Amino acid sequence: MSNILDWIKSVIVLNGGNFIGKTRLQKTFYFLDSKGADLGLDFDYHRYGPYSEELSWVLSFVKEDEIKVIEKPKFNSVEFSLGENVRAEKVGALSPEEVKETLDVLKQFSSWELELAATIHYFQNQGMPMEKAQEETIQRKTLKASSERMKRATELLKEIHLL
Amino acid sequence: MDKVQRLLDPIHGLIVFRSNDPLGIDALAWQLLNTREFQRLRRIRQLGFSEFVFPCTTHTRYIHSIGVYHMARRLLSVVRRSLGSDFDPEKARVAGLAALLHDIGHGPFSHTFETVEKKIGRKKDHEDWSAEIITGDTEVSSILKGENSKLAENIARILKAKFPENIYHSIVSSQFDADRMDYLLRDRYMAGIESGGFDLAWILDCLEVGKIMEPQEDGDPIEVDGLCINHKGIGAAENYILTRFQYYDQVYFHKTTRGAEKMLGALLLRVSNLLKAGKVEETGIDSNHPVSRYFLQERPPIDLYLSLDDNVVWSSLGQFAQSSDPIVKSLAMRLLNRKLFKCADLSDLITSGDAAVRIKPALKQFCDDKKLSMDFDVLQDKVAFNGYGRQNIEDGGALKQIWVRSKPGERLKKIDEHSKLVKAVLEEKELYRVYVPDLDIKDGLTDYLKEAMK
Repeated sequence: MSNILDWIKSVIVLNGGNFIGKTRLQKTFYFLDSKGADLGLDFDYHRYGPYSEELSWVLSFVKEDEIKVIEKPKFNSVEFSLGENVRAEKVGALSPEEVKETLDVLKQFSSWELELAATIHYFQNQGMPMEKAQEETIQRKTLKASSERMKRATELLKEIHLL
Repeated sequence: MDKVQRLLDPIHGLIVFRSNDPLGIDALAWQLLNTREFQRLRRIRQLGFSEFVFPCTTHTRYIHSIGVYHMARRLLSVVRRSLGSDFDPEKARVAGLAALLHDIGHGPFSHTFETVEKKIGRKKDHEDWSAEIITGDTEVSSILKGENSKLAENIARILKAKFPENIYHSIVSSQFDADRMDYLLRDRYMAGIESGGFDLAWILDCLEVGKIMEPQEDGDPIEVDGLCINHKGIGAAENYILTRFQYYDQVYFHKTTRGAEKMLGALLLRVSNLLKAGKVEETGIDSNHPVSRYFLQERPPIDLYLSLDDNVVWSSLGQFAQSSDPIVKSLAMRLLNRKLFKCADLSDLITSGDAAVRIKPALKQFCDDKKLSMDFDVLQDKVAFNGYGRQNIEDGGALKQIWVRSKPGERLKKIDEHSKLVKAVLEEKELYRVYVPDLDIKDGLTDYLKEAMK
């Protein structure tokens, strides 16, 4: 039976063998869960929008022979990478093809756009109408939520069929 | 005429509220102090169950909030000194009042209560409640709206954002925010701890506003104003971070405190489950009790939330101890008499990502074999922290880090690039503990998991 670590590995493989950013990884898992992966993770609102403590917990223990983590101090970020011999499996209920399709869309957007889109979706899930969810997101993220990025965030949600 | 109100505080000395203060917020702050919502903070302790370990830590969020307001005024003076004519008094007013009200939405036993809320599927946290109290039908809101129609909304926005986006916001939420500076000093004093500590006056004198680059993992950084420390304050800043690390390790995440919090969480969860199953008579409290009314409502209104505080929960423990439900009864009796669960510290068993995912099913297997509940008998505690406090392991957040200028005129650096000492305490420490009712179970569980995790 697969688990979070296997899912993280599959996402990295399906992303082309590497993956930049813990925030991007968190939001990616949020989108996959929202698209029906049914991962059993709890996503709560944190600094950068919906966030799973369980996912962070597992990531904090990964060793180099599991996933290579390279620090990117200039960007306050990290890069995850895997060797070629790791095979992608299902991520929860989603097939590798379905996951790849979503990842290919997400690649076209910046991590801030992912953060804004995930936050809008999170508030919609809390019962807010779209307009209110967008307004709430802008209020909480004034620095990041430029009108251009908010437009892109909405496009992102449409492209992955969450809107 | 200048009207003056004075409070004495063992941490900051005399705290004065003047009606003609430079920012023009003291009179308003004094009015806010006297609202029923702020007075409720007298009944919420700053450190919850820490008094089971440090018996004098019974100080409340009321005096802490006043201390934070006082610190915010001092930090805003630093900002004014640095920015000169660019200083924005209106943003400073909002930040000062946000500092005063930053804890107004805490529930009883603060984070313990929030955890129970999450377990029963409610997503609101104390910052959301703060925002509601500030903008909703309350005395606080009425005072703020009477002053300025946008004031309440702007304060709420800062508290909900969770992340600093400008220099004024940094006063409320950053590594050098008013909250941290007050609680580190206050908690140390009340706990009676002689070690650690930092030189507040020195730090304040060495703080300045600097241009910090907020990076994007996949885009151009954005330049923002943030508080940074000059070369003369680096030693004091090191002590500050070291103190935080020690306090998280020895006070906030003390195994006994965390155990009591987990037990109260389990008790409230059980009570909530019984109430939802229509078994109010089994809880020991009646349906009119604030705890029953709160848990029975799907979306509890502000008034009901405000009716809960530490005193209400403490006083209900006596009633829960009379419950016909053995779980409620036992947990309440234990908390009343400080007969706490035993702690198995299993942090050493988690040595890889694989171990982190395997431990939970192993624990579940043990519980199934022994017919123990993972909600009420075997309570897990997972925390990760470093010198910056409890960590949220995502990227970025330049304003959440400490920046130093190691020589006049040099570019700003993160303090861990400059100090090996800080680099060491910014290494994350992960704790994995399991609390169980007795030593036999603790020993059995420890042996079982050691074997299962090989």
